[in-house]
Amino acid sequence: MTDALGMMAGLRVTDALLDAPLDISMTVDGATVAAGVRPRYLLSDFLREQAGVGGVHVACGHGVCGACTVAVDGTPVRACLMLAVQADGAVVQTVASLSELEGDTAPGKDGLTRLQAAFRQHHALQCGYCTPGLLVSTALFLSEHKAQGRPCPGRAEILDHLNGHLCRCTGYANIIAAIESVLA
Amino acid sequence: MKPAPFHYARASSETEAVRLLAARGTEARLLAGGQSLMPLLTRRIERPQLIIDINRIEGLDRIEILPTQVRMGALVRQEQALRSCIVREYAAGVAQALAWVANPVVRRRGTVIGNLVTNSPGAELPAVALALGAEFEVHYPDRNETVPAAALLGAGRSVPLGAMITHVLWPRRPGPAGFYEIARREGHAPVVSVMVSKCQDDWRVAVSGVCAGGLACPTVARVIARKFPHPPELRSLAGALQADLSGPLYGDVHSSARYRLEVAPVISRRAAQHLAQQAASA
Amino acid sequence: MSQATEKFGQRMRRREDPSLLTGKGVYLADLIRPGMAAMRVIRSPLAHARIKRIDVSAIVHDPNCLGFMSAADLPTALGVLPAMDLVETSLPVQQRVLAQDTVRFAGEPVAVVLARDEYFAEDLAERVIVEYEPLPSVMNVRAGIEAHAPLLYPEQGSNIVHETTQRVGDPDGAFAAAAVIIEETFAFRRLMGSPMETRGAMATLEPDSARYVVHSSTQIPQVLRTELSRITGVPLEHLRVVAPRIGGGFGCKEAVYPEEVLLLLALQRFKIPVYWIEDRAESFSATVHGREESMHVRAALDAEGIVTALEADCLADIGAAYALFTNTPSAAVAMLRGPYRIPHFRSRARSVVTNKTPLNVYRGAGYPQATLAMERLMDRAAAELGIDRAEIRRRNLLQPEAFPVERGVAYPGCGPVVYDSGNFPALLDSTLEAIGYQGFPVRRAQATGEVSLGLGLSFVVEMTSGGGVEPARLRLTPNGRLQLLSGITAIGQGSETTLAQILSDHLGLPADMVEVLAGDTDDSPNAPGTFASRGATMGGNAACNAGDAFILQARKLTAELKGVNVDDIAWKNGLLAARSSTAEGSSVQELTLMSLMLEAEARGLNPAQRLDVTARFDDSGTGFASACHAAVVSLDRGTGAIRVLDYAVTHDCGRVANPLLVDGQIMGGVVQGLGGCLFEALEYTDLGVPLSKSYMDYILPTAATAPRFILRHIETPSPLNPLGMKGAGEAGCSGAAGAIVNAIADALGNEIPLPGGSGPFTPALIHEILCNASLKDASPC
Repeated sequence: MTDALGMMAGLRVTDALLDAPLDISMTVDGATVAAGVRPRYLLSDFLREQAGVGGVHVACGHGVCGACTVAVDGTPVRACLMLAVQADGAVVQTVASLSELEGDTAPGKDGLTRLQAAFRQHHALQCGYCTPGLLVSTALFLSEHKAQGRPCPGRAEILDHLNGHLCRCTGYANIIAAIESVLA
Repeated sequence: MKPAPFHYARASSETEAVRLLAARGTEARLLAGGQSLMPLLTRRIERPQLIIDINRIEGLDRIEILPTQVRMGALVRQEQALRSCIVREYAAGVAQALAWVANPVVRRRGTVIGNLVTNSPGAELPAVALALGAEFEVHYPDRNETVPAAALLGAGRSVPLGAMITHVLWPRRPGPAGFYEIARREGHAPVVSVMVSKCQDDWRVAVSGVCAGGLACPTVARVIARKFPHPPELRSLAGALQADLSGPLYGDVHSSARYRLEVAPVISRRAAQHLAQQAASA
Repeated sequence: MSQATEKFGQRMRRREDPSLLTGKGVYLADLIRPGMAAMRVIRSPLAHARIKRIDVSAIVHDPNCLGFMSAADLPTALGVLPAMDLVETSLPVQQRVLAQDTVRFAGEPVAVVLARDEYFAEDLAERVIVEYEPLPSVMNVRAGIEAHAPLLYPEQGSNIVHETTQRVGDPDGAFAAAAVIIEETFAFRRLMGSPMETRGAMATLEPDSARYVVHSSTQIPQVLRTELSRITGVPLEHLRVVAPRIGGGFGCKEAVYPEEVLLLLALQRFKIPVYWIEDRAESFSATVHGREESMHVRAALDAEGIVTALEADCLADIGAAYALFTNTPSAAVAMLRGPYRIPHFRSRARSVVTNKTPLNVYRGAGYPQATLAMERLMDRAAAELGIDRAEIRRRNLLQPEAFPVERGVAYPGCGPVVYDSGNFPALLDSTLEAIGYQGFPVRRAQATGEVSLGLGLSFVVEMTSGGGVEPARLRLTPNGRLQLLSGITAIGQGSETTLAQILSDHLGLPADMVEVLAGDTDDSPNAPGTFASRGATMGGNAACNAGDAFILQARKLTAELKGVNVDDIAWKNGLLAARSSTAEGSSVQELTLMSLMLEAEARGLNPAQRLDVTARFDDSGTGFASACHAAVVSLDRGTGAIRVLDYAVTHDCGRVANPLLVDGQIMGGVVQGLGGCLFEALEYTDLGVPLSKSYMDYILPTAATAPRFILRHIETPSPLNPLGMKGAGEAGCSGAAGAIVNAIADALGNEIPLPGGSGPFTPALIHEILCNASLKDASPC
């Protein structure tokens, strides 16, 4: 009996065959990126290495800290928990696309979006490693609320959203203040 | 923390997914939301030869209301179920439990069925499935079966090889539910959680984290029902829980078995209070 | 950027932010280039074992394998990793670059394999077979000091490897005369800094100069360079080290690690550029740990609650070898008296090796332990004597007139402890007011249901700004800006903003005229690095000295150009003003730095070389920052859950250059300390297998667990430096456990004893404490 992949059932295939590349293509921050990738290649690595995106940071690699958060077809995703092949044909947006994710068309002053400016104003970042993923996730959180007619999530909802992000530097108070300031 | 090598196949239908699974048996895993499976792959705790991605199978993301059940497909995401009016109205216990699972980003990808079949010790949903008497639709290569959740989630049970769980059926239970949970830190994995669900005179209680698997607790349910809308005494809850225990107690280095057993009555009481609040505001 | 001068003391927003917010921050992982080999470290899974055999036959012919090294492949003359702050009697238990015959902690590097990428490297590493013969392991200090304990280093004859003692006055006499003696043993758990960016490094060859370049996510690039040269024998002039922006340090990146050496050795041997990124699972045993010690403390008090004597005996669990800084246990006891007079004192700090990851300084070094122990004793003494907790502290505080205060103790890495300035009573008054101390009994009484409230206080005094002489280099760039090359690396603390602000203010220059660079040993002066809350103070003072030296050079150059005396050249508002007198009267001609440069170049006066100065700030003493913390917590008697509701800090770090950033440091430090007493602890099985391997096991605080903050500042300028500054990076972390644990004890009530130490006070532990104490009540224990 052979399975769909033409291998004999029960035959252990060599690693090289298991790593045989698949051709994929996705849009990353508006640009098409195509490559042949191994099935096990993580989306986080694809974005950093193939798409050259610096704003995807791998901090924990097991989906707890949220630093690698990107938007895949408009949904927030932990890039370290997705295979690159799964994003074949998808539209991926990182912090470089933050103004679209916030639903703003005009670039803000100093080239910063409203959310980025609020983070700066409130000193909501220190080392900056958790920041890009946090911004992407927050932009999606806020624009989704707006789209559902709930433009002002309360503190409990903001804290629930922030449960998905770890920051070791700031102690969070300024992050909460920055987010609340864009709701005002 | 990179996965070991594997083949990848994107199933376009349930039939194809099942065929691939059957051919590879223990060497294949289904990939849905990935929130449970991916960390196991990156830490090389799991090393399947084949990953079968089911995310593009059409029609598996529906939440349907049937005459006596709420039916969810394998691609129904946790956040989707949490926000669904059907679930809130007819399976309130599920919605209440989901609000405590992880965080919004994880819930956007993680699936209800994925969480159920992962069946982590202490996880909220498997206990709810047992207590409510949920059923699974299982798609084998040669047949489809509907089995009670207990057949797959109970102590010593597991998901059958070479088969795919395509749907979960929650009994249709209009009525309020209450939920409470204690974790080592808010938003972290639960230590003990309790769901209480009332549908007219039918009361169900689910307790997770005391035994390795979830517990359906009919004696606890009776105690809560008797005193409703007032919360029961802790002593009677503790006694009832003892009666409902099944299998060895569960503990880990952070939260001992003794703590879990002793805190479960407190959590049950709060879940009962939460249900009373929900009932009052309905 | 604004044309206005950035003023010292203003809440300037950070110049680092636009780049970081847009994902353009350059961290170590961003420097990896195609064609570099990935290094994977093969680590011991066992806590203590002999290495019997390493079998590479499964990988040696694999085309993906680009290299392999175990101890047998390393140069015989290879040095061991460095350890600072040792004393004469310290035993030589520095860590080897790779384990030779014996592994002494789970996670210890045994070998490395190189591959084309990290995926292959991990595959190959798995196929190397290492055979071990397990040895009995020592997993805590009590076991380590027992008479027949297994010895980690048999040739040293003991597991006690380092000891310091202190003595002030006549403690025996004071204890004999005491009205009350309070004593307690504290167990401080093993924690780690766990920054969001794991460690990483790479080694490349500079093509033209044949120099080795090591990039590393490190707080101490110059120290790393010196030590790499010493360990490997590569001459300093053939070695350049660059620290890019790093994603958090906290002491985790303040050590010299095997991986950094191994990358350089691999480059030398296999002639390929090579990198290593630590993964999170690895980090829990591969990166230095912090805090763990057992401290027994006794306090003697008179009937009025004056602490007359204090005695402390500390056994620190330092892991299997020294890390770079060895003074945590010494600091913990030497600083125990904190802000209190306590004229008689005795302490002993002993470091014990155990089969765990080496212990380094972690934000606060020994002060978190000192503060927790002292402040618990204060609360217990208050309860015993029936004195109000704030009042008993007030009676013991050193008064403002007492400064400078010689404490009579000294410890390695600090020298003699002399508090330079402070106003402890003012800190106390301010914090009591901020937290609502007077009104708290009413607030406590209003708590309903199963929730109890508690309020806790703590005081921190800590050494900052030490570490030695700090240089700074200042030069003019081709586009006429001032470029400060600082020895203070960017670890997230906003050093570029703070230093530019200080220099800009000092020189009266607009903000956008000053750039700050750091981290590259080619450009930056040879400096100790970023640790011990020294960056702003030492870096800022050094920058001002460099600024003064620069302006002097600029005035001299201008004088030469104008053919006048240097005294006729003034520096004012960012311009050089040349006064000249003629028969018609005097006139003033103003030059910008840019025009000075152009004119001087045209005249062949070599401005690039002359307007490039290095100056130093000589460390004439270490500034002692202080703070008073207060926490209000809620304790759920049903579940055992603790929440920190409100948190007040009044902080004194002398003159504050940028209060926005200092507040950020305090809040970040408090939440890190909060994590350490509510959630975090590194756990092991009895045999030494680490149980904490991910963020599912080792839990960090989240936004939902952070308190509401009330932050205040008092400034008692330090007389030790012209800017009057002291460090601020650690006092938030150092005070947190003391305030929070005291608040938990307060919520439980005096009748319920709290186990001594840092917990963590998880719901399960609180529940156990309540059960052990309960005699009757309804809770089903």
